[in-house]
Amino acid sequence: MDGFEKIGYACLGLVALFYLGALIVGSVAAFPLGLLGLVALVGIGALCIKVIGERLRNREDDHYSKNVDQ
Amino acid sequence: MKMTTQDEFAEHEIVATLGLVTGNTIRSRHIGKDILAGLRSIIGGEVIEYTKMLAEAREQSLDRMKAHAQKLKADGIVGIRFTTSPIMAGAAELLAYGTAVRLRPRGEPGNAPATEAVVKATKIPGDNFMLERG
Repeated sequence: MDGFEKIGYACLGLVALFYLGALIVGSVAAFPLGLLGLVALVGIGALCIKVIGERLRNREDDHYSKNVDQ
Repeated sequence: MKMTTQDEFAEHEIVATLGLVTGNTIRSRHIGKDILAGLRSIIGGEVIEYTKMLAEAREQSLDRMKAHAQKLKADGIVGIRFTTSPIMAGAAELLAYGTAVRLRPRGEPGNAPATEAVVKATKIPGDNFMLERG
């Protein structure tokens, strides 16, 4: 991963964080129907945590990611 | 484990056919690599992000097919083929398949008869229906 890639990921991550924050604030502001969106966000967030956790624990995926290039 | 895309080996002869062995996987890259790949398609040239993804899928499906053959106590796999089908965008599905066999160097006396080995292969639980049908 070179410097430009790092800068790109950092900027996109920052925007994603702000976007997520805006979604949460907007859901709370649109009370009471906005809470539906909040529940959906929590559901997707839980699934995201599951997927990330499984990927981090998967040694087989690590092996192919690190050792196979082309 | 000897493997070939041919139907037989030059230095070994097949003494038993153990049945179909398969290995498949579906792999993807993370969203950052997908964005990079999309940008590369604008400029042209090799999309190295997806080259790596396909290589990973190829190796993983081969390794899984080998593991399947080792479960059958095979010495080799003949007639290896790869196939793919589009399941989701930006992901690579690869299925590797072949026929697991027992081998002996050419010119040596035989081991177990082929029909006995096929019967044993059908008794392994969890294998797919193609194998059970022989």
